[in-house]
Amino acid sequence: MPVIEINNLSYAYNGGTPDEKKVLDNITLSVEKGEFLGIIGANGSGKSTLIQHFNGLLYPQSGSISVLGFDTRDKHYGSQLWKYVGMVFQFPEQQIFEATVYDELAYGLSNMELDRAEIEVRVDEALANVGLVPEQVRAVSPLCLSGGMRRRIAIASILAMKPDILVLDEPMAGLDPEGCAHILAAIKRYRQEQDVTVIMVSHYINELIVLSDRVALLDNGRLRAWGPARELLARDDLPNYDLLLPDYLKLLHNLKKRGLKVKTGVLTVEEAAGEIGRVLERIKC
Amino acid sequence: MNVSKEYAGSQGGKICALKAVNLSIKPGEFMGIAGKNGSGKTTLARLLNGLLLPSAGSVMVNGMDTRQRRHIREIRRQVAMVFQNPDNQLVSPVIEEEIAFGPENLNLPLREIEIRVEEALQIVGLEELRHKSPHMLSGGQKQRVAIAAALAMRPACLVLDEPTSMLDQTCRQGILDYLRELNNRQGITIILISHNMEDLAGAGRIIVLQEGSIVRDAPPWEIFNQAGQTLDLKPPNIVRLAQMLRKRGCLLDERITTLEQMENSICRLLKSTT
Repeated sequence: MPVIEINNLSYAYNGGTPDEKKVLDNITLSVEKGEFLGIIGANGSGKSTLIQHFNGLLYPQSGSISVLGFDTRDKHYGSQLWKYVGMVFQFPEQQIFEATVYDELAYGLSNMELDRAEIEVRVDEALANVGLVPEQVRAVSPLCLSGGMRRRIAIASILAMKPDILVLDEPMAGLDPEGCAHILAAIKRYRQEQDVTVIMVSHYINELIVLSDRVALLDNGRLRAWGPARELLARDDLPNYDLLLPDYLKLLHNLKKRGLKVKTGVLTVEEAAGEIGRVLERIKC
Repeated sequence: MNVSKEYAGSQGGKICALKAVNLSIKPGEFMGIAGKNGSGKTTLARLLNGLLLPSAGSVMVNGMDTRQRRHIREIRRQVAMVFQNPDNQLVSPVIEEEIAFGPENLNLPLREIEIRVEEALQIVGLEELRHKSPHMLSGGQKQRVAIAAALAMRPACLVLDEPTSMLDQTCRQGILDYLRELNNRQGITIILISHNMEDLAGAGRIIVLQEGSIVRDAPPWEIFNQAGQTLDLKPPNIVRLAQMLRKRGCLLDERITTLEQMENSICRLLKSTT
């Protein structure tokens, strides 16, 4: 059953002015319950604009989008959507404003009118989920924490609300490999516990393709392809979309162009090594 | 340029971010700084143009001590800084004004400012957007504005703290290529901080920081080949791929750090066998 259905969605910024810029062009896409959808595309391809439609921050200028069965333009429903669709923006640590980690996580929960005991339980759960020890960080000011820790706090504040749909916009941008690993582990853990639908935009394609059930490729506001990662990566036109392709995939595409019979639909470095090794060995024999 | 030693406590507390680091950077070098979050990379960068002052020891920039106030303006003109998040350093409502901001503060003649703005815009490929406002740009475009603004100062040394973390493939590669060109053609010293080992593949030398100390100072291929085992850094995928293929018996050059080298090495292997 689809939890998000997008039909012929188009969107332009500054419509009707000389600065008009079309960023989404006739997108039709659906997301199934429990699915992990990855969204890839160059800067300016419309990724962030698309996902802002998922919780009613933006409304379709033409076309429609329904989330959890309702049109997001429905006023009664749209104003409640934030409870069900958790949105982690780019650099979410910049939106932290409370004086302590506990207050930051409790903010959304008290807006949901949960009682205090429930809030305390959820705050601790969410902190543990992002790999932090609640007793150590609850009373700390977020300003005293490193950027990577603040990122985890910001993500925990969304997880604590237990959204049915979790939307993440570049959650790993600017973190070191260890910071990235914490974020990825938290997303995986939350997904196992809650059977949640996850939509993630990321330039870290190598991480995204192993997590995603399906991957959508945006280019200049258009949905160019949409399907299982292996199918998408096997496309010969993939290098044309200005993606941050991991270089092992670039290498495979380059070698294929040079006439080497390698498959490009691989997900990991190990698979790529297997593929190149196989071809080299066969040629030697 | 000759930067030697420091020791910096962070603003409030007594966290020891750098422990008696000795480092000298020659004019025209392209140096990468690698290390985990909290290893002291940013602290080190900020000591280079006196944004932070050493709590012990000293930093000398072209013979000028960063602790002497009278040198600070000249040091900052020579050592330009590009930060991780361009939103933190863009101040003007229009892109070309943003780029002109530095040269204007140097009291340069108008014509000279125009030339520099033009040149900087061209270098980062933003000529068409010159009259737009920075807030209308994507993250990658903003980062390019920040780099252009630094370049308009014609610095002797450019320090970039994670400049590519927000960029996509094309701009990231474009900026890295451009940094290499700046370094080669104009001899500008480049100091590039990145978590991403792939960004540092073009450097002549990489230093690795761990808990405030330099634990390794070597060319990229050496660092990358040890990265996984002893340095607790993630080697570039290409280096991992080469290591895996060597294990399978493919005779690849041990100095491979980039995609092009890998591709060429594989093609050479193919030619030698056919």
